[in-house]
Amino acid sequence: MLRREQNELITRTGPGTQMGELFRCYWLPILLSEELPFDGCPPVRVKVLSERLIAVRDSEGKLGLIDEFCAHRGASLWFGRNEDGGLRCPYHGWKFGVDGACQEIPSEPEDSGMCQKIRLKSYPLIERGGAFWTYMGKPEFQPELPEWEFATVPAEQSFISKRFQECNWMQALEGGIDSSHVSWLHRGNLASDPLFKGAGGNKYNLGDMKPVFEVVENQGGLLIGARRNAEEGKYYWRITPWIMPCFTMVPPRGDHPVHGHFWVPVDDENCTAWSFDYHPVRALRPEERQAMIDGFGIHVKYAPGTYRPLANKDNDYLMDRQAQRRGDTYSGVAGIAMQDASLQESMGPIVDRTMENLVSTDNGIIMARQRLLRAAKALAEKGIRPPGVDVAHQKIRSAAVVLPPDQAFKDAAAEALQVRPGVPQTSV
Amino acid sequence: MTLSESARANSAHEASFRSRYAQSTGRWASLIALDPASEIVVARVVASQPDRRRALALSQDVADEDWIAQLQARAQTLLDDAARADLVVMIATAGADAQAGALFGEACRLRGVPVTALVIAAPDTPDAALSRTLAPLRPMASMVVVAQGADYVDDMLHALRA
Repeated sequence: MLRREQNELITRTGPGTQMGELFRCYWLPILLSEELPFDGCPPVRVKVLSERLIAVRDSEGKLGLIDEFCAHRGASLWFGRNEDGGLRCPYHGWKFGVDGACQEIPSEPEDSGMCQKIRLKSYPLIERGGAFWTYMGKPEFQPELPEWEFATVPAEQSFISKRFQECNWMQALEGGIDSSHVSWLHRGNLASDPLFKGAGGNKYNLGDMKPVFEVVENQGGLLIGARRNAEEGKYYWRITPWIMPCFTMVPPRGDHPVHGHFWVPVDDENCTAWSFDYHPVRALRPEERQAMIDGFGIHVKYAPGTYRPLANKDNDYLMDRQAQRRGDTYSGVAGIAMQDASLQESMGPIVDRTMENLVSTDNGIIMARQRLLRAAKALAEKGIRPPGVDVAHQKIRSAAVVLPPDQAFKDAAAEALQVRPGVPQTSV
Repeated sequence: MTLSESARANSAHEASFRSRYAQSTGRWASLIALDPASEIVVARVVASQPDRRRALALSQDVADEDWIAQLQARAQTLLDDAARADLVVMIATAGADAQAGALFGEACRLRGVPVTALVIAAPDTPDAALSRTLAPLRPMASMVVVAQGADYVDDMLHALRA
């Protein structure tokens, strides 16, 4: 449980909020590469951290993220004409560069100086790993570019998707940290999903439904180990890293691609769930990539023309009570991503954490909240840079290992949890 | 257009109609310090919520012959106390010898009392020291937590309503 004021603090990420300032310390993914596909392409509306912005790839290939609304009368620049190195508002012809600088006010004399006095709020935009990323903090504190492994391997080794999720970001993140739900909610998928099935470790998942959890603070966030019994008294460990504020990785299964998420606030009642798959040392096989496109694994099928899942609250997530009864799916909702999202959205836009009843296996969630609140306070009061900004914290992997009972996963799997270029993931 | 049941139920407006009645009674936590540094932590967190938290001591300052004579009775009392708690938390400092906690934890486990083992480790704690403390606790604990500061004990207990 959180106190009401703590729940407010941790869920609000708009400008001027403590958690919003924390988020503004990081590079965040906001668009897929396919959304700004060529120089001079149509601009794209973006809402992130409760700010309405517009992403522009101008006719010269320069990238920028600027205030969505024209400084003149407040018309949306989504209607803008992307031409000659700027975005022109079609209402009265005001033109802005990707840095937000006003380039032209046609109705004003050139020497009036008016144009030089106008600038829209702007943020940097970079492309990396199949996505466009922005940094919305103070320019003087802009960190190094993101170094997550999925974003640095060759394009043929990775796949990235995003989906709109209609609840606060923290509900979604907590699902990524909460390993104890996997044996229940997703139990039907281990044997059937093409991106999970066949791994040697699956038998331990299905053979021991009462995992024991071990939560360890590390530099960037947390390591959450789920321990199940294996042969000869050994333990099968699945190790999930969480790096602040919103990055999680799922432990691998066999030689399947490794996957994970970012949970990026759109506003306080919506977020974008980013889902990536990659293999550290080989290209994705055509059938793997196709399965991801088809919505298997952690990805979803989309409502046509959108990034909204095909199964969504407007169609009751395509609930199938027969499949639930048969046990094909445990909740009646198909697909791992929507099994999670449907329940997280059902909590309401912002769940009231003063009413919840956590148990000791929820320690991963408890500790993540504590670290976020602590870091937000340290940033607000002392200007301390939060964990996860340093690219060294980003060079992390999930892992699945079998260890003797007397070995701490943090030590025994220390190498496995580090990015090692050219070395495959550690998996069972 | 008629909203689906989920679209209507998931709204902020509908969330305001959720039952506000209490769903659980207060929880009782038994805290067991496994080393002198942890005793200070336990004393502090118990003092801050004495109606919900209780310290259990695995050792007592009594003469040797009395200690042996009282061993069985004290062990029984400790186990009974632990069994009455909603939450049993063993707290150790990284590097401490946690064998006594392991024995008691195993007794709890055999009686079906789940135990959380919480090890407080400074960021610069050597891995070997942490492993030494964790190894005996791991087999009997239903949850193992390694935190970098003692303030996590308060936060965890509050989150668990204890």
